[in-house]
Amino acid sequence: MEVSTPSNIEYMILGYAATGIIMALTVAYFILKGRRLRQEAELLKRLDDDQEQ
Amino acid sequence: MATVQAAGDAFSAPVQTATIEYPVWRTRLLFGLSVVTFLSMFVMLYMAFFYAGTDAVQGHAQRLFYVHVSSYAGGSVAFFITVIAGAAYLFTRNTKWDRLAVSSVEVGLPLMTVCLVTGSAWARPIWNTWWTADPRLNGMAVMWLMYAAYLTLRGAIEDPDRRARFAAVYGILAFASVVYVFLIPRVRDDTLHPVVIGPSVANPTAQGEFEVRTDPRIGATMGVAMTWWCVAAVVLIWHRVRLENTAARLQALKARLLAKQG
Repeated sequence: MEVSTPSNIEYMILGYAATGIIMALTVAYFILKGRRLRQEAELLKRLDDDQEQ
Repeated sequence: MATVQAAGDAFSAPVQTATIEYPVWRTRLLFGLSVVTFLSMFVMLYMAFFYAGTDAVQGHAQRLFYVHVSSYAGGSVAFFITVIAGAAYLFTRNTKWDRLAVSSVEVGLPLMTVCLVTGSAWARPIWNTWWTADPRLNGMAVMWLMYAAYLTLRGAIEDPDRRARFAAVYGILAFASVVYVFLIPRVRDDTLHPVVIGPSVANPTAQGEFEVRTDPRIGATMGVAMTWWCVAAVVLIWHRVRLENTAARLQALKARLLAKQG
């Protein structure tokens, strides 16, 4: 008996799209965390300079 | 002047600035690896979509396995690094290992989330359900929750030494769940989940196997995908460790400023 290949491309797209979203969110979280730390570092530097004066 | 606990090159000097000076070659290596990883992602996707071919029985849904299996491999590498870092912390009490451990969990968890989501998307057309009470699937869910709890519980402990000790022991013990998930379809003959790589017992109930061992194109694609996800995990952990180093440096700077004010 011949078996036809099922049409289920929508599930493949769903899985790959979800993967893209999860990894993009992970990278975005790292970038935003890095940005926040840089801002915090600048603030601390200003505070340190003020204390020196 | 307050100094931060010695924790590798970046912390060996007294804390004066928030900037950490890393050796140039290390930064270049990280940048190079990041670029290569990003670009090779397209090679992996090309192989998964165009080179590997469409499975005659499972159709396009079978391509999800190139992400599903290999993201599990990448996540396992990340969690194994947590074990190594946890053990190293317990032996040396050097906080750089604790920073590596938490960074690895923060990278491993999204990779395991990818594994769960793609597995569910594959199961719907192949098993006719998004989720079922299978030992492999339930083990995977428990593992995910254990590592999510690792991050939550870390945040609940104030004392840094206690937190690092607790996290090191927890990280080592939690890895048992990763081993369990890996082994379960290889030793039990009543799980629905197929074994894609490696030997297994004869399991008449497994559904959704494909020819990864006999089709060289599927095997090559799986190999490239697994390598890519493992390298991506290491690159992400490296970036995450640098953020954690900066956060620790800022914490020490804050302490120094407070001490000056006092």
